[in-house]
Amino acid sequence: MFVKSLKRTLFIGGFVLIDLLLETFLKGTPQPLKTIAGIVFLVITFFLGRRILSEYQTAGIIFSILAVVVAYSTFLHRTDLYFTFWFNVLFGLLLVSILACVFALKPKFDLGYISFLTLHLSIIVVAAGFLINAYGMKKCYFPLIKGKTMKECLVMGNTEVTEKKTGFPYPVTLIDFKVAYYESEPVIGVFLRTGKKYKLIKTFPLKKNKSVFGLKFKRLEIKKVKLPVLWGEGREGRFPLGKVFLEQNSAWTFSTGDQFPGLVGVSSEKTREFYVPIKEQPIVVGKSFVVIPVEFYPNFKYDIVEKRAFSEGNDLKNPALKLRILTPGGEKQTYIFASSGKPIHLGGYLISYTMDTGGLSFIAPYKTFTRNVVFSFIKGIFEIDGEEVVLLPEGEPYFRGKFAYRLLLVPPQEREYTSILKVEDTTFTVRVNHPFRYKGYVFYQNNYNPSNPDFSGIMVVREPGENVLYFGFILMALGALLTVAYRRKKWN
Amino acid sequence: MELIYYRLLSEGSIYLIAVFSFLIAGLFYLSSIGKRRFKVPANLFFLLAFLMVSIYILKAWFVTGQPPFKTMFQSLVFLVWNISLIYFVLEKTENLYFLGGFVSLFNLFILIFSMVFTDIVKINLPPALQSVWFIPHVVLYFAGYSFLFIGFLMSGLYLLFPERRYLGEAHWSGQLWKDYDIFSYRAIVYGFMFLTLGLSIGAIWAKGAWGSFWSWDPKENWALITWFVYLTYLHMRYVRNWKGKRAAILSIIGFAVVVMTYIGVNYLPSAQSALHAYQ
Repeated sequence: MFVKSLKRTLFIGGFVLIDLLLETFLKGTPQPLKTIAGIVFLVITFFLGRRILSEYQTAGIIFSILAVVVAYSTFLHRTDLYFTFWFNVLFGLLLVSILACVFALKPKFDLGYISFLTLHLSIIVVAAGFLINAYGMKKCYFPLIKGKTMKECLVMGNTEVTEKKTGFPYPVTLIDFKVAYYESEPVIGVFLRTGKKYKLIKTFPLKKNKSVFGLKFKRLEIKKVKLPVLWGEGREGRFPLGKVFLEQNSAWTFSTGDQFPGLVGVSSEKTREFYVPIKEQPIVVGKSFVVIPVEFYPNFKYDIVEKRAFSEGNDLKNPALKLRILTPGGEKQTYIFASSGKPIHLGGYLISYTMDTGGLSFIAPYKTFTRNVVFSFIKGIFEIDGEEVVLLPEGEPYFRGKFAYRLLLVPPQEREYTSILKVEDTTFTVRVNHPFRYKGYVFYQNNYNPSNPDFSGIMVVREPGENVLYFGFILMALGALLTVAYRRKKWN
Repeated sequence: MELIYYRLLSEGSIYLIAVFSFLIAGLFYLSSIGKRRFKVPANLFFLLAFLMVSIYILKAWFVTGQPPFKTMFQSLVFLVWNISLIYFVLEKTENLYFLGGFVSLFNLFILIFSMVFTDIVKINLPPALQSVWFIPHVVLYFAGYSFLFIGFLMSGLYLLFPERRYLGEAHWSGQLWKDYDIFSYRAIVYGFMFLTLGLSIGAIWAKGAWGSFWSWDPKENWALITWFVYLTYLHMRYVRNWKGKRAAILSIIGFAVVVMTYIGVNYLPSAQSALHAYQ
């Protein structure tokens, strides 16, 4: 017993050691060669340790090692581990071991054996499918703009899009792209004081005259205003240059309306780096584009009555900058906003927290212009103990005893995004959960840019192990059902 | 405690009736062990609690127009519904009354524990979750978790009260499943089947939504580890004939992994941007 266990441990330990050494040795080797090396290594291992591999304990140990690796990677966020040579080969060894176990058992062809065979074969089929994909799958990404055709796509790595371009056999055109949004509904958030902090305990929908812990909703007042906001044009299209979240001096909250909830990070292809000291000399950005910082607002507020911007205090609660922009077309004034705390890429600008030192770091985009964006002023009227209470979306809470109440306005959230694509002469629609198959390639709706209505990210996948995996997972479900059927038969 | 109190108040009468009904049912069930004196009122209160939880889920579904599985709070309420349903079926078919007290009190604990989590009335389903696979995937997993909980409960009772392991037969004239150990094993077989079905459906859905069967997401990984652990349990049982104490310990380890998969994984730094994160 002890000798057997020792042999098994030495065998698996030796395998893992050689596997890790091979990983180092094969570093930089092209993928097909790595695949061949992996298969040769597994074949040699099988012939050397056929008997050990056909023991279920061996499969159990390999299972355990893989489980520990997977658990470890979730704690340390090491997703790269799953795509290493050694991990894949270890997975392959598990496959070989289960296969050896299945063949070691004498066939009986009763329900018990069939259920055993189905479930175990399913694991082998699934693992085989993944291994085929690991070495033969092709994934690429099309950053498409409405009306434009691309013949090349960006190669996708295991988890992310790379900068490397590759040719695609068919030109792909984005005919149209549409985003549908859920309606944004304000809700009441009730907070409870726990120690020094307030914790949100529940949100309630606004129902007229319904009381929530003493707070009764009366009505909403909504006004819409257009303001000029600086926009940039980068590689991926147009986008607003700031998180616009302003307040009037006392009563109004200024939040984005329509379909622009906030900030989006994108970079532009042609960029230059600048540093603009606030209230100092103008700076020329490009050949005919001059930016003059006019005024800096550490905590930007906007008085809707007086129609003027001002700063409430010097705390960096809502940093903003008023700019004069001189272009051949004329002069414009605009505001640029930043949310404090962390650097954000906005339309090619890198706006950072360095505003508090009196300057603004940014990367100028290729083209910039102002755009009138619609903002909604929302005011919630409530009643508590017979007195009127005004709450503003994301504004100051109303405190009463242990409770605090806030009017929460969830930004518009996308319900669906749909791309209409044309590949050769075929036009088709792609949505999330509704991919389209064309000549062996599957087109998926991958992402979009909330601020650019013309942009759509499409992922194209060619997966040689796809049908093997479908078959494997169906077999697995069938195996589970058969196992229970067999067990029930035995119990009865 | 104050937080739980105010959260309970905020949930309204249906939720409160469910909480108190589980409490009363639990007390009746526990005081009935070996006597059957309060079997009828215990069943009635348990049924009332189950109905209230069902109404609560249906109401939340009706109000938001979406299946209420998106937040941790909602999913815990759904877990209670699943466990209650499975217990109720088992009680009727297998005479497992003695489990009622523990199941009722566990449900009570879950309903109160869920108060720790914020209840966001409406979470809009992102495009990826708008799929025909969403409801079967969640329902199968929760059915699996519920069976595995029953298995864990029986294993725990087996370890805690070894001398009373034939309680079902002795006190309740149990018809088929007499032994905690055997019952635990059977519950795990069912639980494993549901886990496998949920895993398979999840992989097929992921392929349609994200373009790959497996994304190495932390939740997926822990679901795989859970599956590994129960696979080991079943193999030890079949091949090595593991029974009694060793099997019970493995079942308890398995359920600890289930808790990690269901709740613990949400607190991992790697899960903050995960595809399966609860809100």
